[in-house]
Amino acid sequence: MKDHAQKRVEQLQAEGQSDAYLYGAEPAGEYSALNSFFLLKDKASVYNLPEAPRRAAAHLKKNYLFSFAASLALTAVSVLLFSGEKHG
Amino acid sequence: MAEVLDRNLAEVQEHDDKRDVFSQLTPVYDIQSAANPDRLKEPGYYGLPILKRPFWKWEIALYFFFEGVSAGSYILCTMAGLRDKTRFEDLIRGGRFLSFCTMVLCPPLLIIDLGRPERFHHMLRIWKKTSPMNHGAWALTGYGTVASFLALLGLKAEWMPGGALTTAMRLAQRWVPERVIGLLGLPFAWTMVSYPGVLLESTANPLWSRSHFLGPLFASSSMSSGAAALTLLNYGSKDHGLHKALTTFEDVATVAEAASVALYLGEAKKAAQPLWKGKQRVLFLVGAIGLGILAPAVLRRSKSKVVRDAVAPLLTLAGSLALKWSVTYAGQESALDPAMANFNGETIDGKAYWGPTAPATAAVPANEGATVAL
Repeated sequence: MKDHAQKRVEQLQAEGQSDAYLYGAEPAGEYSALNSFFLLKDKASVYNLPEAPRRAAAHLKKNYLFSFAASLALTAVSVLLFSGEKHG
Repeated sequence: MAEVLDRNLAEVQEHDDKRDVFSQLTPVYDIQSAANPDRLKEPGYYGLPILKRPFWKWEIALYFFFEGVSAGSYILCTMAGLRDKTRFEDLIRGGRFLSFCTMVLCPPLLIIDLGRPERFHHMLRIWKKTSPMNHGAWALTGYGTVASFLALLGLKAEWMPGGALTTAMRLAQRWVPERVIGLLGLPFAWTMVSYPGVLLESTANPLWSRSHFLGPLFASSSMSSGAAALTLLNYGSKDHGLHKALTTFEDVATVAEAASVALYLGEAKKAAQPLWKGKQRVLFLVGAIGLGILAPAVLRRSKSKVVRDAVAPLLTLAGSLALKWSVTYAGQESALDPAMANFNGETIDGKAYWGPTAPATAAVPANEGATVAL
């Protein structure tokens, strides 16, 4: 399929339609190649397709890292504080 | 933005399809009647929002608050127990009951929020490593078990009615390694504190997902609300060192919370608009930031004990609720804003582009092209 589409793009470009390209056939940004791809002649947004789609799970590790860093750091602070002197 | 939002709320009819359980919880837009050609040039699909409104409401906002207080106080009590078990005996006993009482509210809140409440146990039939919601379900299960057990152990033997029960309680308190169990529950409690923000960040909602700092914000807010609840519980304690420790902890947590808010707003930029322009702006700006973060920081320096150890922690607790409530509800407005939901030019890391031209031109708002072609 992909080869077929690529040939079609090359054929169109040879005919002078230099703006033809495949949307979703190659990995981009946070996504790998899509299971369905499109031959487009304009910006993806014109066809109601996202140009830079975000994938929620792509940031999962980093988000967890930041979040756990905050809670572990505060826990460490509490250990230090609880070892203070007892007054009164 | 406000006009678009108001019009969307007024004009876009929401289906209520009785056959579809989800359409009763989250709106399904009546596209046929709302998508008129006059709105062709508007952002989104004929001016319609491309995201569904999240159906997380008061149950989830309250859940975030209660589980924060519960796990926050659990962590602090466990740490106090590690340092000095006898000195902090009262703090720990009170804290264990507090953790239990606030934890007990969580499963019902989560279950009534489900579309099919009777199927809640399906969440525990799987382990899905990409789903923070699944992590949370498991963390709550593990944490809830440990917190309940420790609260039970905290009951005094003489409170037991019968002779056999009293003896059993004495034996358990003598032989069960309370500190080891407390440590076993710690990873669950840390997850409970850390995952709510990550859960929101893993959605498609612009307000929630355009920053890495919602997690730390919720985590530090939870820890500070746990400390505030412990301060209130130990108001009558004669141990001034304890009061000082809790107050200083509040200060540190407040700094972490303020830094997280600043980083969050700085990173989310326009996506965080509903928090300062939307319906939740008073609750967020005045409630969460003003009364919940800034005011207690000042009041903790007061010479009066009532202000320092009662008013300030009460405000901290209220502020934590206000923060979680406003962020949860503002997500609904965020999803209704078609321009923001459609704006895919900028990702957090600034990469991602599909198309014929160089990535430099990718930052064109997605809706601009639509006006040309359609």
